[in-house]
Amino acid sequence: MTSSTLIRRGEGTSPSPRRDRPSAPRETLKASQETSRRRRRIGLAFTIPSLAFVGLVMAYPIVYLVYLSFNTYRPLSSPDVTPAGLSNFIELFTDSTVGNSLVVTLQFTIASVLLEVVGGTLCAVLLASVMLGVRGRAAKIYSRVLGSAYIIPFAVPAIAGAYAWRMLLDAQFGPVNAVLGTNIPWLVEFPLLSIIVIDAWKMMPFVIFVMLAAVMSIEPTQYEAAALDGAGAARQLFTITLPSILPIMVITAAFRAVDAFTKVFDTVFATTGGGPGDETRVLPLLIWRTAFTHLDFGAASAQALMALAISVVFGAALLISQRRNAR
Amino acid sequence: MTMSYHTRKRLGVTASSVTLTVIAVIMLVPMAWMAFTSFKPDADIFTTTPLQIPEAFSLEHYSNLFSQFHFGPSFVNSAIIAIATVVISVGVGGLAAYGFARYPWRGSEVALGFLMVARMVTPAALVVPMYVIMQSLGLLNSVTGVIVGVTVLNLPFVIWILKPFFETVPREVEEAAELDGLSPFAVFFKVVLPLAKPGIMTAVLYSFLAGWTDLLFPMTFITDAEVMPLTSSLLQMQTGYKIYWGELMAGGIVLTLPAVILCFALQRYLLRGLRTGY
Repeated sequence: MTSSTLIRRGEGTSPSPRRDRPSAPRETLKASQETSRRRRRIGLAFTIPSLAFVGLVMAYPIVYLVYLSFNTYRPLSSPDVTPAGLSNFIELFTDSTVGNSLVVTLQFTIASVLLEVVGGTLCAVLLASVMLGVRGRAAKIYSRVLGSAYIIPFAVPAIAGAYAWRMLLDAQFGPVNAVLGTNIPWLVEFPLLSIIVIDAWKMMPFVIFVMLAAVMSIEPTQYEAAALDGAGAARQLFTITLPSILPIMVITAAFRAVDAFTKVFDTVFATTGGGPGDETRVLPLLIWRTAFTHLDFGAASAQALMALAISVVFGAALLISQRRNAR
Repeated sequence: MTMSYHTRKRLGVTASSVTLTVIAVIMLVPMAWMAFTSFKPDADIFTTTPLQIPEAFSLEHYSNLFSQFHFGPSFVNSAIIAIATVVISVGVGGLAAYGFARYPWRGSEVALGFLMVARMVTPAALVVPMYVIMQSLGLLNSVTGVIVGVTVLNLPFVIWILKPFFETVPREVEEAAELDGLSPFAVFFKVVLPLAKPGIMTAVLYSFLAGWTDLLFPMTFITDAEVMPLTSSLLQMQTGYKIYWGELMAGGIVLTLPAVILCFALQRYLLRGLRTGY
C-alpha cells in the first residue's frame, strides 16, 4: 500500500536471474558485466534530463541564494550587490518578526494537520460504514454524490477558495455574520483560527480519500469475527480499524505537515495578508514580503535558507524513517 | 440494550449519513456562495442582508472580467502555463520515473532521494533567487519564467507518483518486447506507457492543477496585465482603494471551473493516484 513498499520491489540492482546464474561460465559472466554496464547507461539516459533540469533550475538558484544571503541587495536604494558578512544571519536571531513567524507557522502547521487528519479519518470511517453497511443502488449513488462533494474543495484553486472564504466571513456583507446576527470581523479577531479552518476545508478531502482507501482495505472477516464475539461498533473501531490504519495516518500527517509548513501562502496572502500586525505572517509570506515588498533580498535570502534547512532536514528524516520502516 | 443488532446497525448508518451530509454541505457552501454572489448585481452584494433573494440576476461582473480585467488573455496564459507544465513534467518526469524503476544504477537511490527532498522545498524561498536570475535572463513578464518555476517544483512530484506505477508493469512484457528487438526507449513508449495509463492520467491531472492554480510565480514574475494568468489577475481586483467583490467572485468561478471539471472527468485517476502514492 505505501509507496515505500512499492519502491522496495523494483530495486534489485542485479539483472534478471535468467542472465545471472551463479554457475555461469566465464563468457556469460563477462556478458552479464556488459549487460549491467549497458543497463547503467540506459538508466542514466532515462533519468539525466530530469536530474539536469532540477539540478540546473533548483540547485543553481539555491547556490545563488546562499551567495545573496551573505550580501546586501536592495534594488530600491542601490542596484549593487555588496558584501554584508553575517549581518543577514544575525538579523534572523535579533529580528523578532522572524521568531514570531516561525512560531506562527508551527502553530498553523500543527493545528491544521491535526484537524485534517483527525477529522478526515473520522469522515473516512463514517463513509466506510455507510458504504459497507448499506447495499443497493441508492446507497451507491449516495456515496458517489458525497465523494463528488468532497472533491470540490480539493479541486478549487487555493486563491479562489481564499476569496470565497473572505466573502463568507466578511464583517458587513458576509452570510456567516448574517446567519449569526453578528458583525464579527472574523479574519481580524480570529486570524490564525480562520486560516486553519480554511486550510482544513481545502485539504481535509485529500485526507478523507487516503484514509477511506485504508479503511476499505481492512479484511471484512475481522469485523465479522469481532461481531460474533460481541464487540460493539466503538470496540471494533478501537481494536480493529484504528490500529490497522494508524501507520497510514502517521505518514499522511507527516507529509501534510511538510506541505503545510512549506506551501502555506496563497490562502494567507489573500485573506489576512499576514495580519493583523504579524499574527498570521507565516514563514513563506515573511520571506516573500521581505524580498518583494521591502526589497531586501539579502535578509530574505537568509530567511529563505532557514526555511529550506528546516523543511529539508524534516523531509529527509521523513524519507529515511519511511525507508527504514519498509525494511 | 433492548434494540436488536440490526436496529442498532441501521441507526448507526443513519447517524453516519446525516453527519456526512452535513459535512458535505459545509464543504460546498464557500464555492456555492461565491457562485451565488457572482451573479448578484452590486446592490445585492453590498447589503447587510446577503441571504435575501437578489433583486435581479446579473452577468455584469462576468462581462467586466473580460472588458476591464484582461480575462481573455489571462485565460489563454493560464492554459499555456498549465499545458506546458503537463507536457514537460510528465514527459521528462515519466522517463525518469521509468529509469529509476527499471534501470537502477549505482547512486540512483541517492539521486532519487535528492529529487524527493526537492519536492519539499519551500516555493517562496526558491522564488527569491529565481527572480534575480529571471531578471538577468530577461524572462520576467513572460510565461516562460513561470513555466520553468512551476515545472521544477512539480517534476519531482510526478516522478514520485509515476515510479510505483511503472513498477507494477510486469517485467515479462518488457523482456518479450526487448527480445523482439525494440530499444529500451521504444519499449517505454510503445509497451510500458499504454500499460501505465492510469498513472500517466494521475500525473497529468496533478501537473495541470499545479500549473493552473499556481499564484506565487506569476504574482512575483509578472507585472504586465496582458501576460498574467488568471490567478494573479484575480489579485488585481483588490487595490489599495477598492475591492471589486463582484468581479472577484466571478473571476474565482472562472478560475475554478476548469479545475473542477477536470477533477470530475479524471476522478478515478485522482483517487488511484492517492492510493498508490502513499
